[in-house]
Amino acid sequence: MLERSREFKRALDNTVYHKGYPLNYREQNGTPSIQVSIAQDGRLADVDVDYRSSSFPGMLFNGHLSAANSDVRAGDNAERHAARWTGFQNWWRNFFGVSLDRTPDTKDTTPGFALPKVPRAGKKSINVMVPDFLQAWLVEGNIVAAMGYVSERSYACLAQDTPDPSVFDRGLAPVQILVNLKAAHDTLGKHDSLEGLVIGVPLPIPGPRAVNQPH
Amino acid sequence: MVSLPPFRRTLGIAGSVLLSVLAVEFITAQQPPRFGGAYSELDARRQQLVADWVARFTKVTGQSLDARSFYDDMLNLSTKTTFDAVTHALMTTPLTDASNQEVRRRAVAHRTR
Repeated sequence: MLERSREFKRALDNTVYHKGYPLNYREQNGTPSIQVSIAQDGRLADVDVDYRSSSFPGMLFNGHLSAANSDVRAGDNAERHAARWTGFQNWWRNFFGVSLDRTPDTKDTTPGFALPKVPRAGKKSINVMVPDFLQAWLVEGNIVAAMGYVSERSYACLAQDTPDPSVFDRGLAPVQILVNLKAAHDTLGKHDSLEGLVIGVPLPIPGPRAVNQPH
Repeated sequence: MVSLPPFRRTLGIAGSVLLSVLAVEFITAQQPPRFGGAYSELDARRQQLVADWVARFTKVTGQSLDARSFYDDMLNLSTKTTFDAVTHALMTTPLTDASNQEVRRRAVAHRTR
């Protein structure tokens, strides 16, 4: 649909930002503009509004790569938005009182939450990351930290395990994994260590590679 | 060529992506002051987006949650303003093809046939 429209044009694929959503469609006629980043299978998209130009080299200096680029509350973004898309109500201005030059530092009444993008132990060897994943999950019950080790690529496995993969709700895949991890932890109960909680088993499926490790 | 979803579905996906970030917000209940951005102030289409996502969340988690309390009590200001801005931009951007026909209307008509 975007392909057919005159208002959007396919741009260079996303490589660094919008990971997992490489197909990049940008609204035309300058900033602010809508960017639609689409997954390879066309089933999910990440949509945002950019208030600073994404063209090189201006993007290096105009804040395109900063958080304020897509925060409608920052600077004159709300005015820019209203000038491009009519009928926009700046209902939060009464809260802040004045415009902001950058992303507001004001603490939200309700804290935001997102799953960690990187593992808690950092991007280390499998000898370090696997025990920390198991420790976070099964011992600490810190499911959110454990989720830092779950790759988005694993979501496809969930779909494969469902009776009809075509109706699998991929958008809620991380929530499904979160629920499953928590259920397993709660079933096993409280433990002070991984001792007796996990054992190594051979996997009779093609693909996995055995790795020598001390645990 | 990638099979692209209709614009209406893209709008739904946008809302879904925005809201998914908050999927695991088990926040200690603290009633925020009302300064705008309440669920009741959303138009019907935005309410439908939120309600649809909450229904999916409820189905996956088995947890009881209603759209109004989710939006009012669990979403932070940043998420609400971003949701507001992105959906507003999508809803007020016409999509036309090379012959100046509105793509959105045709796609919706196609879906409802």
